[in-house]
Amino acid sequence: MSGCLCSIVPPNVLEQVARTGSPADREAALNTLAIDHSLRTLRIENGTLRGLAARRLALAHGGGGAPLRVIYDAQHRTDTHASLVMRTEGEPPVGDTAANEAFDGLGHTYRLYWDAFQRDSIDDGGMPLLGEVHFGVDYDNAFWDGARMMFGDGDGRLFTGFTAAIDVIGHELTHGVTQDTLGLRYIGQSGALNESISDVFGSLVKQFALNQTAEQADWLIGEGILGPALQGVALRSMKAPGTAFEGDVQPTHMSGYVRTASDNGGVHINSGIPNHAFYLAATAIGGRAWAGAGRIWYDTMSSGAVRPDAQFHAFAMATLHTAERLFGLGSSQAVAVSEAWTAVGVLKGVRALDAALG
Amino acid sequence: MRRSDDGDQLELERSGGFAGLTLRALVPFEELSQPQRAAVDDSLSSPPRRRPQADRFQYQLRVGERRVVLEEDDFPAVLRPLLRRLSVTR
Ligand SMILES: [Zn+2]
Repeated sequence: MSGCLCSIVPPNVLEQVARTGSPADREAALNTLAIDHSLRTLRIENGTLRGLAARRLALAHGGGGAPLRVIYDAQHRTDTHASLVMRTEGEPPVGDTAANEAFDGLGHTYRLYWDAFQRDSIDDGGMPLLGEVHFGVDYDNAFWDGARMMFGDGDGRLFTGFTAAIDVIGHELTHGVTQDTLGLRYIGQSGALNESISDVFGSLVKQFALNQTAEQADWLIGEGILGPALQGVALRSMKAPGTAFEGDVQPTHMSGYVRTASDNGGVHINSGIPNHAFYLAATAIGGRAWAGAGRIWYDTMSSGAVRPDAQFHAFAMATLHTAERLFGLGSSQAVAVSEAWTAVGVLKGVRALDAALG
Repeated sequence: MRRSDDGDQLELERSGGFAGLTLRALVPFEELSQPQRAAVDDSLSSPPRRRPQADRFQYQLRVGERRVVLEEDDFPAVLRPLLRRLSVTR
């Protein structure tokens, strides 16, 4: 016999809580049961699900402020039917670097959104953060599938994996936040805005974890995951778009906007323009970027200020209005935002002039 | 029999993904198996509905003047072995 340490966990542990607990306990238990039905049928250690339930119960009483993470092993498949639970909330590190890095990255992302913006996870309702590592074979990508994060291991040539950079994890989870808020269409300018928002908050996750000022931050996306076939330091630079690696063709200004049929209209290329606007606003405002420009971008996103098909100009105006609402008309923050969008050629600069003249 | 127009090769392109890298490969038709040729023809003649998803790959197949863009999940499994030929374009 295999001497298996695992067993099929009967859902009755949670169901009992759901039947007999206090109203809050019952709701939490039901939430846990609903996390993912596959969790219940997986062969996992008996204690795992009980620990998860206890964690969720604690959260229900605390009203947010702590993540609920589950890392799965996709076992190099591209479906998730055979995924195994590797590490859940409250458990110590396991013997798998990707699993631990993903776990930590999800935690850092949760921390930025909660500590800086009081957002309780992707849906602001304590949604569990699920990650699948070892997705596919030599898979050169990471993505948010609408419910969980998938991390390939990379082919070792172009990429060495995707869990080592926490800004990548912040980027992906932010696609979930955008989907939950603005719902920006993933094509053309609205797609490039969708991409840029993910880069902005991905970079902020890293800056928050390192407690850096806008001046100290490297403003790079994907540092430390490039393989030997790519020459450079990262995939994108918000500080200097187009300079992160040898094939980086991101524009800094509207005059360089790239029209292409590839990549849904160059969403990963033209994001350089709003990325650079954020960098300019953040460094002009100074201090910790999440408190100034980050706050403005977050409020613009979470208030649903633009339509799903918004173009750069509409988003720029929305951030300017948010800055004026948060910090005042003609405030240094509002001027910084206006000047940033003007510098990248999205706004014409009239507002900036008005503000400067008082 | 070998045709002389540029319809005698498949131009394969992968774009998107988190990295947004564009990779390409040219595959002579004579190196495609019959099922692979059928899959290419099928995709070109009845393109699936586009539904862009954040950071997924998208594939473009081009044969001569005919062109189709496929989402990652719509890329025919029988063509997967060709992906090894993709390389970064500058
Ligand atoms: Zn993205």
